[in-house]
Order: sequence, then C-alpha cells, then structure tokens
Amino acid sequence: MNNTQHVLNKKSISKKIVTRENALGLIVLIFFAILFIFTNFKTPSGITSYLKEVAYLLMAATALTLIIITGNIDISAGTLVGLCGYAAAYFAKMGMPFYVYIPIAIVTGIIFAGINGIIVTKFKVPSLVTTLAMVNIHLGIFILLPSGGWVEGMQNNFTDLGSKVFFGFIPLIFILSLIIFIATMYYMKYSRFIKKVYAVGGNSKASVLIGVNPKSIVLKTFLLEGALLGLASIFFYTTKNIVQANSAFGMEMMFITAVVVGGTSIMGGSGKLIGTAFGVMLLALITRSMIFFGLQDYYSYAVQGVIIIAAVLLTHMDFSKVKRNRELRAANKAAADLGMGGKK
Amino acid sequence: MAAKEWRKKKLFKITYQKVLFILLFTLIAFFAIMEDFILLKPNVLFGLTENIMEIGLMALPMTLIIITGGIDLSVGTTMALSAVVTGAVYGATQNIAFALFCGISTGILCGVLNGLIISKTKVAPLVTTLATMSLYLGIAKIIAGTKIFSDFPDGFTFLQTNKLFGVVPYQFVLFIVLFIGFALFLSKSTLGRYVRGIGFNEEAVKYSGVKIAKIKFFLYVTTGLICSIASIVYLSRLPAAKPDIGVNLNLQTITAVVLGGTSIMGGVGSMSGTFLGVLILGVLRKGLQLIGLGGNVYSFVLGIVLVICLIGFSFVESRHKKVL
Repeated sequence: MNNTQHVLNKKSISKKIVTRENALGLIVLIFFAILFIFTNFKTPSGITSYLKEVAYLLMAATALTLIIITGNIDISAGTLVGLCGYAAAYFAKMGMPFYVYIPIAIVTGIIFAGINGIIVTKFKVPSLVTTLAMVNIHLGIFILLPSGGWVEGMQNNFTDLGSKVFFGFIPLIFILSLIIFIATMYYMKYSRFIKKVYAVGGNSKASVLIGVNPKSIVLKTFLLEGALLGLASIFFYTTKNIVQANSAFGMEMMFITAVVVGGTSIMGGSGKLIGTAFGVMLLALITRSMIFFGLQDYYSYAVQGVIIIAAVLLTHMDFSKVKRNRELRAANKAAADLGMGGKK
Repeated sequence: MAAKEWRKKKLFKITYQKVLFILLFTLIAFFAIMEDFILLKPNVLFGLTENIMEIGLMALPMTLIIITGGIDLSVGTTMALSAVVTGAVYGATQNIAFALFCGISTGILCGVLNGLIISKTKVAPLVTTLATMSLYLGIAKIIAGTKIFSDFPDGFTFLQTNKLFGVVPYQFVLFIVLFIGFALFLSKSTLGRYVRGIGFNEEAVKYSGVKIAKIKFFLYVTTGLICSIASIVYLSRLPAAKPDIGVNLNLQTITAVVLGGTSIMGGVGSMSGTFLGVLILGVLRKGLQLIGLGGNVYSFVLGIVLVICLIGFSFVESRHKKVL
C-alpha cells in the first residue's frame, strides 16, 4: 500500500514538472542566456525597453487568453487597443490626471468589447467573423475621429506614467502589469467564474446541463477582456509622445500568437495563464534579439513565423508513442531479469 | 398540385442569397442615383470588378476551405511573396516565362507547407496559417528589402489597358471561368460532396472511408496556386511588386466569403454566395469612390454591412430551423 502510494506520488511529481508550460519556460531561459552572453542586452536600457514591451503584451495576451479559453477569438483586439488609447490620450491632453483617463480607457474597452460580446451571444454570429467586421468598423472610426485619430505632443501627465523607472531599469508600467497579471492568475485558480469559463470552452452543451449559462459567461468574458485591453492601451501609449490610433492595427496577430505559443488551445477549454506569460516573453525577446544581433527589422517576421510553427508543433507533439515504447522495453527487461523471457 | 404549391412556396421563401441579391441591386441603384447614373454606363459598371479581382480569385478556394471548417489567413502574404519572387527572378534573368514559373511554384510551395502542417498534424488551421502568414511576409521582406520590383516587359502589363469588347476586364472573365469551375466542383463532384461533408461532420466522413488528410492537403495547395495566379493578375494590372501588397487582403478575402453566406463553422456555403459577396465589395468600393469617399470610409461601411448581413444570416437560418 505504502509502496504504491509512493510510486503514484513520484509519477505525479514528474508529471507536474514536465509540462508544456515549463518546456516553454526553458526555451525562454535559453534565449535569455544567449542574449545575455552574446549581446549587450544586459544594459539597463536594453532591459527597460524589453520590459516595457512585455508590459502591454502581457495585459493584452491575458485578455485574449480568457477569450480563447471560451472557444471564441477577438481579431479586433489591436484596433480596440488603438481606440482605448485614443480616448485616454484625448482626455489626458485636456489636462486630466491619471485617475480620470485610465478609467476612461477601461470603459471604452468595455463598451466596444461589449458590442462584440452582444453580437456573439445574442445574435449567435461566430466571434471570428464578428470581430472581423469590427476591425473594419474600428478602422473607419479612426478616420472619423478628430485629426484622423492622432493626438500629438502629449504632456507630462500622460508620458510620466510610461517613462517612470525604478532601480534604474524596472519600468512602473511593468510592475503594474505584473501585479494585475498575478492577480488575474490567482483569480483564475480560485474563482468559480473561471471554472465556468473553462466549462463553456470545453463543452458548451454540457455546461448548460450542469447549470451554467454559456451566453452570460461569454458576454462577461468579453467585458473582462475589454477592461484588460483598456489597461494594455495605457501601457502601450504612455511610452510614446504621439498617440496614433491605427498604430495598434495588426498587433492582434501578435497577441493571438503569444497566447497560442503559450499552449492555449484555439478550440477552447484548455490553457494556462503562465504559458501565455512565457509566450509573451518569447515573442518580445524575438523582436528584441533582432535588434541586438544587428539584423534588419524585417527578419523578425520570418523568425516569428518559424518559431510559432516550431513551438506549436512541439506542444502538439504526441509523446505517448515514445513513452509506450520505453515502457515496453522496461517491462521486457524486467521480465528477462526474472528469467521469464520478454515478448518482443 | 402539392408539388406546384411547394414550388411556389420555395420561390417566395426568403433565403439569404435572395436577400444578398436584392442588396447588391439596391447598392447599385443607390450609387447610380447619387451620381447621375454614371455607374450604369457599361464601362464603369464592369470596371467595378477591375480592382477587386485578386480578392475574388482568392475567395474561390477560400470558400472551399471555410466550408471544410478551416481557414487560411496566409492568402494575402502568399500572393505578395509570389509577386515578389516573380519580380525578383525577372529582374535577375530578364526571362518572363521563367519568372512566372518561379512565381507559380512559390505559391504552390506555400500551399504545400500549409497543407502538410494542417493535414499531418493536429495543429488548427487558424494557428498554422497565422504562423505561415508572418513567415511568408518575412521571406518576401528578406527577398525584397526596401526594393520595389516594377520592371516588367511591355506585353506583361496588358491588363492595364486591354479589355474584352472594350468594356469587360479580362481578369473578370478569368474570374467567371474559375468561378464556374469551382461551383461545378463543389456542387457536382464527389470530392465537392466530401468537402461539404468534412464541414458538417468530419468524424462521420472519416469513418465512411474518405481520406480526409488528402482532401485537405489538396485544398490548401489549390489555394496556393490560385494565390499565385492572383499575384500575376495584380502585377499585370499594377506592375509594382512589394512585400506589403497582400497585408490587407487576408481579411478582405474572408469578408467576401463570409458575406456570401458561407458559415465559418463549416458545412454551409455556396460559390454563388461568394460571387455575390465579391461583387458587393466591388460596388461598395467603386461607389464610395464615385461619391468622393474612399479609404477607411469604405472599410467602415463594409464592416457595418457585414455585421448586418451576419445578423440577418443567423436570423434567416434560425427561422428555417423553426419551420423544419
């Protein structure tokens, strides 16, 4: 009895260590080591600019992880970040302090993500095409905005948030982003709502049978996503002097990439936030490393593509065959030791 | 008697396609009235299709892929890559036949890579093509750098000026020929049946002995081929090959297909719907240009039209289900 218990424990420990998230973490670590040894990435400014990039990517990728776990997707995330950033910048330009414009960005995000959510849940339009249409609508809104969606010459009340740095290399926005991320991760572990989110993503019909309303869960997830994207827009635009709404167009692919590389299934129902965090770190490292290795910017697209394919193939690889062979060999060896003659 | 009544009922039943057809004519009428009936001149009316045909061509195989429940986000960048390869090879060898051969092989290779990953592994098409999208864009950027390949022989740019009977653009003729081919494939051939079947219920088709992986592979390779043909049409119309020509085309191609009533969940859809979708895109673009609005107003209006159509589609579909 005691023996079997021991074996089971041993097995579960090894299972806990060898996960796809940890494998990804190892890749990120190796990447870090290479950059530290061979380039001058380790200078404070290098690390600061890296952490600034991680800050907004982390927020947006967290938002999209939640959406993708429900089995939906949001292609309009990039343009939505642009809209939130514009709204915040518009009010910051009028001299409003941060406790006014940050809520405004969040509310803008909630409103527009709410529109997505309502179309997806009430009218039963698949989220891929809903948000596809929304990308077009957002791009149109950028043009209808005053001065074409540009706000120039941001004052200190806006840019201070993005440029403040602690200990010489840790930006304030990274700390804020990390706090919100850890809070979300804690929330994901213990809240009932997130369990329902996983249930809806895994099997929507079954979730109805256990008393979950999938529509309301999906709608709430969209609202939460909007709030997180609003925060991401703050972290993205406060590092800049000029807020240009359409500069975020196209970033949605990067967000989705980070989530997918992090091991979240695009079909919904599975995925972990820690994987998303590693995915974000890896993606930001790729774009950074292009600069530090002195390659032109356009190499990063190709490298990004190759790395996504490699990461996704690795995480999707079926190790069961290899494992079965190994077990069979071990069993044969044990049988041979006992003098019974193993089967080939 | 009963059959006659049933036929009559069928004729007046509201289907999504009929609504789309009415929408197309309403749009044409609206823009015609707004601008002194300029739009109704045959020259202008057929000219609508001139700029939209790359999207139209790529929308045809995309319809098949979306009917199987997959998606291809890499069409635009495949087209751009094959255009850049064509331009680069012609710049190096001055041999247009060889350049076109290289361009088309590039398109096919892109399709092969997509098809291999999607059919051999369990990676979702959305993820695969998301990755290959940036991969192909990156390769195109590495090949081209900051250069724009605009050096082509004289005969190559004949789509710029020549038109069939002086009115119909040749690319539209090509589109119609391919459209008929694809429509027959989808509705009449066994393989087309399987394509629809995969969208409805992949497991069921698999257990009836159909090699799904082969069909999927074939579809993605076809898409690559058509993308390279679209790149030739593009270059012949606008001889300037650069990597970012295809960046916006992915979403527009999917928009055309979805507007045509093809369900993104798979199983439902038709080529004639895609045809109407492409034409609506063309009318909107040209019509707004005639009124004096262009660029992002077009995408705004397109987005609104798409949302309304999608809601309408789900409404019509749910009514049918209730009737059944």
